[in-house]
Amino acid sequence: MSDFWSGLSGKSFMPHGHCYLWQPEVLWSQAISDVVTALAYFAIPIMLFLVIKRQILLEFRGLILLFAAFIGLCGATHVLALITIWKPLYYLDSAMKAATAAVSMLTAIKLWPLLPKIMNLPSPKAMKEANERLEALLREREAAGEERFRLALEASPNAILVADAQGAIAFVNAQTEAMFGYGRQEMLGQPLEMLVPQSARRVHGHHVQHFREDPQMRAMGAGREVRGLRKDSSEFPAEIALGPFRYEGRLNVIAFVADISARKAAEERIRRQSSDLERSNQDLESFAYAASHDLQEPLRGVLGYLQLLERQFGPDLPPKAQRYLAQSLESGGRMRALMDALLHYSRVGRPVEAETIDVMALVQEVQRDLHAPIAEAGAKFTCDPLPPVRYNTSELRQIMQNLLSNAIKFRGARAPEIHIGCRRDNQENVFFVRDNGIGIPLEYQERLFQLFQRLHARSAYPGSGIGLAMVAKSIRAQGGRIWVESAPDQGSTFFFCLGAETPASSVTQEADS
Amino acid sequence: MTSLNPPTTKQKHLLLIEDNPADVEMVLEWAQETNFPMTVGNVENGELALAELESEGAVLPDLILLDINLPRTSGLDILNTLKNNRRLCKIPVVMLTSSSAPDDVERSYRAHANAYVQKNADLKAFYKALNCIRCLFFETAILPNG
Repeated sequence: MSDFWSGLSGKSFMPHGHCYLWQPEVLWSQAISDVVTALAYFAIPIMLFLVIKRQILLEFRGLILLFAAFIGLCGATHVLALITIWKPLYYLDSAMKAATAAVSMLTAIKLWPLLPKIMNLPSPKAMKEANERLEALLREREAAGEERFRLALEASPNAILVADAQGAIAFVNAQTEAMFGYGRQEMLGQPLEMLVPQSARRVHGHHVQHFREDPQMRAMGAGREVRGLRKDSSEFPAEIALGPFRYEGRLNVIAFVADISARKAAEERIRRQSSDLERSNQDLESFAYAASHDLQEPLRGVLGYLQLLERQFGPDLPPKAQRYLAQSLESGGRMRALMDALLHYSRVGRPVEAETIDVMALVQEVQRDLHAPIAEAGAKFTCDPLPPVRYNTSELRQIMQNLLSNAIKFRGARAPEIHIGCRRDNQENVFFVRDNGIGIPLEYQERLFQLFQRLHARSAYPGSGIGLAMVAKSIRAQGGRIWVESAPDQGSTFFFCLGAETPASSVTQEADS
Repeated sequence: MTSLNPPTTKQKHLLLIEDNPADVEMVLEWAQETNFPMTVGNVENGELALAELESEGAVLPDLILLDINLPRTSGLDILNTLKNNRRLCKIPVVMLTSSSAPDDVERSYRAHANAYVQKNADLKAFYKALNCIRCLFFETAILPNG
């Protein structure tokens, strides 16, 4: 063993103990001091490693490692100082000291440029103050945000309330005060039920329970209609939206309440007006129906007896009496035609069954029905491919019949040329009937579709003045439109679209096929 | 008249339930003009007609012409009563009315009317319709006995 130590030292140095003359006081105080210092110096790098491991002070990582090495080496020199008291390992000791010196120097050099940085590190006190300032700023911001939020709630046209988990009112906005007539302080902390009429409290309880079990946003209008109770005991219809509102871990409910009295009143007014209108329309229709039915009977009497008179005694009557009789019969016949037309007019436009109609086929059918006037006038028809429509067949036939016979009837000197077509306009099929007849002056075009409006002397163009009114009534009743483009001697084009029932099938597709 | 070839020689009896005197007059005139072996009875309202038909030993008509627009009880109600009566339901009923309302047509056939004919205001056309009725029910169709 002693060979090893002497081998390491190389020469036969004296142990350092000799310098202490092996005096126990000096020797042990030296030895113990070295042990304690070495232990302390070894402990410090361990702590520094822990710091680095925790990823703290990362930017000083290199320096800290150097520092750890430097202190560790210092510890090692103290261990050697301890050993050399008894064993003279001075070469090793010198090497260790040199290494320590090198690392120490390196550390000092590395530390030097960092000095200003380290000098600038805030003191813990400054750090604390800065933190406090930051917190104060955050609190201020939060308060400002809260204030803004509160202002937004206050500005809402709806009453907004927050109720806590026990159903007590925790917040109300200004509109809540206005809507319910209570002051804010009268409501805060009170049960929500104070704003619900007695009759609805049980149901309200169920709703609240239901909401607690399934706290989801319930949108305005999606919820059922409720009633609110004002301070003066009056009630009003309200619409309510609810939202869950977690605050400090507890489930609150935020409620948005809209007073819908005005809307309800308006709805009621419209409902009443439309039922009045419906009734008056019904009255009008039943009047027209009854009038034409009941007026028909006496007229039948007049015409019946006149015809019996003519049939049985006609030949015996003087010519003048025969003429009077013929005139009476003609007037009576016109009256009958008018009443028939009025009866038809009263019948169209009622809700009727709609079918899908092949308009081409229908037009051909109407042309066949009109063969006599067509032949008489020498009328020529052209017709584009027409898309099918959904409409009441009998009413569409009447519409076509009226438009086509008008086109033939109101002809000028030329033979009528009548074109029936359809164009796609704004997602609608617009049908049209164009003629080359006498046309209609602009100032009469408005009145054209009114009942009993006639533009011409009966002797020139006979008619009841009901046909176009009936056409317009039918089309408008189904939500469609009819209009005319015309000028005197330039012919007329009647356009109509049949409302929402028109199927999407487009004209161009039809034309292609 | 000699060209007529009735299936039976028995004289036909026609009952006209009608309150409009002009219509009654026209039908009577027509019956006279046609020279067909038939009698025409007229009752002005439905209740009277029913009372007569339902009385014991009444001679039942071979055909009823029934107006819809009648005082008090409507022709459609009379039709319903007739067609729900075991003894009277087999008498053919032709609705003869000035109405061409689709509702009236529909309701008549639903109540088992045998035909629906609109009274034409033109006398010649009206006579033609009456002739058609006579031709079908008295000369062509086979009617139930008694």
